[in-house]
Amino acid sequence: MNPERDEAIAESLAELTRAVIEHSERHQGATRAALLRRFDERVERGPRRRAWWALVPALGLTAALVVWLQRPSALTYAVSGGGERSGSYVSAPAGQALGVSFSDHTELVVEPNSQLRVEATDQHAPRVALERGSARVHVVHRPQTRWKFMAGPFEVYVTGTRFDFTWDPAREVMDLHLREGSVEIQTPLLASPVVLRAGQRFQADFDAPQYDHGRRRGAAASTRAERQRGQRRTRAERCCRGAAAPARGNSERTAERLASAELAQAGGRWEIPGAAEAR
Amino acid sequence: MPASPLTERPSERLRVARFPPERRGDAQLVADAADGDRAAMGVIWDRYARLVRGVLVGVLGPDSAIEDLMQDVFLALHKGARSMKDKGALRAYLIQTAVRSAAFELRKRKVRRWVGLSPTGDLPEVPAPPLDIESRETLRALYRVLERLSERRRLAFVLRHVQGLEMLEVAAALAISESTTRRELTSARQQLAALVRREPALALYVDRFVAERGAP
Repeated sequence: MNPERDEAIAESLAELTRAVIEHSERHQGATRAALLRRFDERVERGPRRRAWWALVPALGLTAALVVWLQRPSALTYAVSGGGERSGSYVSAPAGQALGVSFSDHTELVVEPNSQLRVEATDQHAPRVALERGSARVHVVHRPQTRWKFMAGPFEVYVTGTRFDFTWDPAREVMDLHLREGSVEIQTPLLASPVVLRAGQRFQADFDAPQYDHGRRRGAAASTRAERQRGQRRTRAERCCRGAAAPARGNSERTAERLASAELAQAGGRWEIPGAAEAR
Repeated sequence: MPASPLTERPSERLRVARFPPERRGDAQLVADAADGDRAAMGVIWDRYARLVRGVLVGVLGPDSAIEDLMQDVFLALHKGARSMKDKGALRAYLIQTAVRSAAFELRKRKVRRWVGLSPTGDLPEVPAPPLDIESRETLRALYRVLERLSERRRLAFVLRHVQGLEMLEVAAALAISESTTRRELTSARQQLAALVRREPALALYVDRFVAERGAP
């Protein structure tokens, strides 16, 4: 390393560079004229206003990109244990349970002879309909995910929980045994949803599935016979076992009472306070 | 009847000879150019065009974009003149603007090289001085060597050795400390000395130059 020689080499290269610069100065006059022409144009045009509107497409594109990046990606699921999977239907054969594992770690066990349908795999609002039979459910809680399970007219909203779920479409009997967490059950019979806590059980039995004027009424032959015998049961009575049988013939009041009643855990089943007296 | 000073038109009475623009100070020129004074911009060009050209050509070599970049540097002054805190620091302002332009152009070349528009990153049809073959090869070798320096070293070399700026001016133009500037320059000189050995045409020129000057 020789600093003096390095300096001399640098100086020689600088000399060469200066020659190049000097040669390029032949354009000096033309460039000056061009500069002054552009200067005059600018002065004449006045200070350029910032074209904020030109940012609009860029902002729009950015917003679209953000939305696209944050779009809810679909959950995926895999079925284990054999059985039959046809499209979104998962059917467990007799004598064999199936496992359904979702990409958010939610797990379902479809009991033998049961069938469910994965209706939606939206990351924020996935939906599963139990067509028949039983399923054990373990939903992993995610802040922006609201699982929904359906069985006939019942809708069970879940955040994070573990429960067993049965639906018999022939008898129209629904049974939900909540093991952990909480769920919210909506039925067409009740104005407000029923909230279940861990350890509680919800059973519903529609044995006379008829609607009249949009309201569920005992219009089936057996129920008509019962009504004729003066034994017509109210909707609530038919609907929810273990619940109070309130004033007969006043289904709306029954529904409201059921909806507003506080559920109390009693031996793993839910009851409405005062049910015993009513019974 | 002679016109009374009271009846005389104010514009005629107050008209004064303008100070020739070429004798105005930098601060005044900047203020005038900001107000759209064409003559002031012309004088600024006459004063500093060689300096700005030296920075741009020194860093970028003979490039067809130089003339446009020159204009852009001076028009940037017109745009930024009003917000200049020290209007007297015109020279430093123009050097910094030229350095920024040159650095931006170097980055553009790098991108062009990456995207494969040009193998060297240079624009085609570079106007080179009309020299003999040996000198042309020497010039090409010079810019190949400079190309190997980092952006900061290349700028430091041009500002200090080619343009002869003070160490403080170089540091200010590169927005680094004086000691960092010294280190960068030392490294640049060492790197250049090593690179020159790999370019026979350039090495021949350097050896001749060093021998003529009687340097070690």
